[in-house]
Amino acid sequence: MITIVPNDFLYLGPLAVLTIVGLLLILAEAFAIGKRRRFLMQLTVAGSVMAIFAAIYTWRSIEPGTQISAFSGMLIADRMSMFLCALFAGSTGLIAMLGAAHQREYDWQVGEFYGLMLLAAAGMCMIAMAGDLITIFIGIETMSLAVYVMTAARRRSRRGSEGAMKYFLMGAFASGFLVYGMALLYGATGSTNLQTIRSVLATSQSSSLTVAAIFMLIVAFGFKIAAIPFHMWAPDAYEGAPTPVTAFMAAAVKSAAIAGMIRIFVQALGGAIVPFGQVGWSSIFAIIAAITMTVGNIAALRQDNIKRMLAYSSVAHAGVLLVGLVAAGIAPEGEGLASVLFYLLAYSVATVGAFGVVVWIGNRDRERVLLSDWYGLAAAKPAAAMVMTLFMLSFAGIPPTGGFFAKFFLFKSALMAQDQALLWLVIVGVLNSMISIFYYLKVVMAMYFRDATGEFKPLNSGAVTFVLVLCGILVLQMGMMPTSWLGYLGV
Amino acid sequence: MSNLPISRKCLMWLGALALGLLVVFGLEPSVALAAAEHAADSTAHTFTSKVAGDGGAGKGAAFAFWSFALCAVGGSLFVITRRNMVTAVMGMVGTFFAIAGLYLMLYASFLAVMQVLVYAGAIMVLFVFVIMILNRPVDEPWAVQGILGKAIAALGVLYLFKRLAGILWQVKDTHALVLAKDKLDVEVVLNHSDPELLKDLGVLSIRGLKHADVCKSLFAVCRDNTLNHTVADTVKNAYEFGSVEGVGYTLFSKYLFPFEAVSIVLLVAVVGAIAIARPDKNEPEGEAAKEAS
Repeated sequence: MITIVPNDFLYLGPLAVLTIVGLLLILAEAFAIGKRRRFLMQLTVAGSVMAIFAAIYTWRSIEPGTQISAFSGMLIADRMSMFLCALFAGSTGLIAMLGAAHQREYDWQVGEFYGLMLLAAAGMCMIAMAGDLITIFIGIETMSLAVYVMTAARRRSRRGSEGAMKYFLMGAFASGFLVYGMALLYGATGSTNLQTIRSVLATSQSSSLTVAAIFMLIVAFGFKIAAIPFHMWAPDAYEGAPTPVTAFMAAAVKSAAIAGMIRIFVQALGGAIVPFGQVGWSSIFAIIAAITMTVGNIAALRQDNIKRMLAYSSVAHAGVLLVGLVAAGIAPEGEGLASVLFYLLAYSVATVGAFGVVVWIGNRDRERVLLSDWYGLAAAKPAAAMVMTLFMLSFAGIPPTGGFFAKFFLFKSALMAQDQALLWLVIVGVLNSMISIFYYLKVVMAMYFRDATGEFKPLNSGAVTFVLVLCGILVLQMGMMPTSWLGYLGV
Repeated sequence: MSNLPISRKCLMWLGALALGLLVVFGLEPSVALAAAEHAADSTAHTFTSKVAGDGGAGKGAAFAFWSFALCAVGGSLFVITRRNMVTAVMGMVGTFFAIAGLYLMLYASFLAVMQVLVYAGAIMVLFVFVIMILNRPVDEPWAVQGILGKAIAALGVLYLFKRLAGILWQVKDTHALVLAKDKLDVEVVLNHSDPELLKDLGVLSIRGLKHADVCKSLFAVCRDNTLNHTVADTVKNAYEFGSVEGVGYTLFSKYLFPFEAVSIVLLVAVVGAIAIARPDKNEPEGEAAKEAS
């Protein structure tokens, strides 16, 4: 009955690398008191790069379209999970580079920051590879606990503590919903294995128990991706957290939650096997998606703090991602899944880049997080203004950036699903993209058409510059050659 | 919610009841086993009037089940309605004991012991320590602001209750049938105690035996007899599943990965708690005040 075979360990590559380097970093921090701390960041980046290579290696060893189950079904290795692992490791590495400069400038050198970040990334990989409800729960908890701590890492900031407290309380509450939902799902199907759940639900008439379980799971994941009406924590936590941590929350944590939703909703409960309106759980998510996009965008219009604005914008992006999930859920054979993954990639790169500029622009005396602080950036620092414009265009979905194709593929897959049942949702989504252009261009206007209020003294850090340049190139590359990426995403 | 008319005395009485039941059933696992067997049946009986008529033996177990369930729900209501935090924690202790009792009725003896030792024992002591050290004044319960939010939440909760009620109604259709079928097999042996048949099965004497003992004999019988395969297997598997051996074996075979991964969660929690809670040595004076102003 021992079902562990040595081959199972081959698929642990990225997860193992991230965990081991994370543990090393926690140890290293203990011995680094009073010494130079730069090597912590370098080790983090090295670990992330190794994890990316491990993910690519494993990705190549898996045939497209196959799912390999490891550790008696606890993990699933497929191309999608390896792509997501690489995405998580990549954003972690880039954000570590932002973090080092930010820590030095604002003097919050918490050494655990890097170790926790890598362990959080390991948790995300667990979610992406999950084949069982238990794995998903453990992954989400690993990730969430680490991110709560990172949010509070800048301990002298009261806003940081407030945001972390809100995030923690809401997150703990959401975890309760998650466990309850999983327990009910187990009660309904008699298994925690996602594939077994799927086959049980497909053959039996699903009960109200399943519906109650899905209800709970929707609430839990709604909290994690900050979909409305479960978004209350997001603006405060995003604003209060140190900017690199905000980038981590917006890019990596949100992507990981989406990965968990793909595993549970699309792959285990996908199709029409669950009663819930006309198209299963998708009908609830369709409504949440529409509300999330609309309210998120309208709330973002009124913000004059860049971090808060990006927080609401990320709420709106969660809505768009839900549209893709709904499409993938009701038409599993379509391109919904690939389009969601491409959207995650484009969104993560632009998010890391945009928050990178927010890190870059401020200094100890003036953090420059208000929109009025950005007046006249283009005249003083044209290159920075240009990359920020690129990221804003990508968020808004304007060519030639990756964001355009991401939205295009996603809405296309939603339109193709089930005789255009989602036509209204796509129309809402496109209208919302137009609304969002307003506030993204407000940033561009501030940079290009206003006069500066004081001299810009940005952070002088090679790592931050590297991140900005890399993200800028990637955004353009995805906008010009999207098909090459879609090839990698063939799930 | 804070005005719910739940009398403290009533809850304490229920807690004592749960404790008593736990002791009674905890002493003799086989009694609990048999009780669980019957509780499942009797639960179904309570819900469905169709199968009513017998079930005299299961009444005690059904009573135990409903008492535990009532204690669990009542205790948790107690937790969220009390303004005094120590009182609320005491309600939580009651809930944990009741849940331990439910575990026991589900054959999970190891889990029940752990529940009492770890949750009702260690963690609750920590809770009480923290509350007493912090010495917080009595707090207003957190309230959702705004009529719209309340309305949406109320609708959501109502919908959930409707669904949950639907589950209770569905139970009789699926589970009762299965149970009735299994029960039939048991009763073939127990009630139609045909001496010849029982002799064939290897049971020499059945009169005067308690149900639990018969259950035990049934394992012995059914190991090499296919009659009653389902019932015997269910009971046997459940008996082994909840044991320390069973839990350990499962933990290190099927659940190896989650078992190892949980250690990362714990590590993150420990490191994170220290990172946040340790004193900040080089905190400059007045920076927090500057930001606040």
